[in-house]
Amino acid sequence: MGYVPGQQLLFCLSDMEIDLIFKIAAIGIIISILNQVLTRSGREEQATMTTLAGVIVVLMIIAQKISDLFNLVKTLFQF
Amino acid sequence: MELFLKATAGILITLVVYLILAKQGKDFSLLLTVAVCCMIATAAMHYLRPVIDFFDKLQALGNLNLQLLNILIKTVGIALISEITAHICTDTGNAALGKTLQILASAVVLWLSLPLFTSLIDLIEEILITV
Repeated sequence: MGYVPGQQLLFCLSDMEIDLIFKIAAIGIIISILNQVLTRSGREEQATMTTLAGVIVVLMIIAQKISDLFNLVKTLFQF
Repeated sequence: MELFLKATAGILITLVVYLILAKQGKDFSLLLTVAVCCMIATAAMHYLRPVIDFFDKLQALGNLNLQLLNILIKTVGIALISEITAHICTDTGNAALGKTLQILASAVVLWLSLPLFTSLIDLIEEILITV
C-alpha cells in the first residue's frame, strides 16, 4: 500500500510556512525600527536590549521547529 | 507536486524577506533562514518516509542484515542534517564552524560504519580460510 503525503501536511506547509515567514519578518522590522528610534534618542543600551529581546523571541519560535525536525529525523532514520 | 510548488514559492518569498531583513542586520535574516530550512527539511523527511519503508521491503526480500541497512539509513540522516547546517554556517560567514561540523559528521559516520568494516573483514577471512 502506497503512502501519500496527506492534505494535513499540505495545509501545514502552505499556511504555517508563509505565516511564520511573515511573523519573523514583522518582528525583525519592528525591532529594527525601535532600535533606530532608541539609538537616535541616545538610548543605545535600551536599543541593544530591545534587539536582544526580539532575537530571543524569534529563537523561541524557531526552537520548536528545530526540535520537531530533529525528532522526525530521529524516528525516520532510526536513531 | 503541489506541495513542492508551494514550498518553492515559500522559498522565493523567504528570499525577498531575507533581503529586506538583511539591510537591517544579519541576525533576523539568519533566524528566518534557519526557520524556513527546518520547515522545508521537515517536508522532505515526510516524503522520504515511504522511501525508507521501501528499503525495509527490499531488506526483507533480499534477506539482508537489518543492522547493516540501519547503518546506511543513519548515514543518510547524518549527511542531510550536517549538510544543511554547514551551509547555513557558511552563509553567515562562519565557514570554520560548518567545516568542523562536517568533520564531526564524517567521524560519526565512520564510527557507525565500523560494524560494516568488521563484517567485511570477517567475510574476507572466511574466504581466505576456505581458499
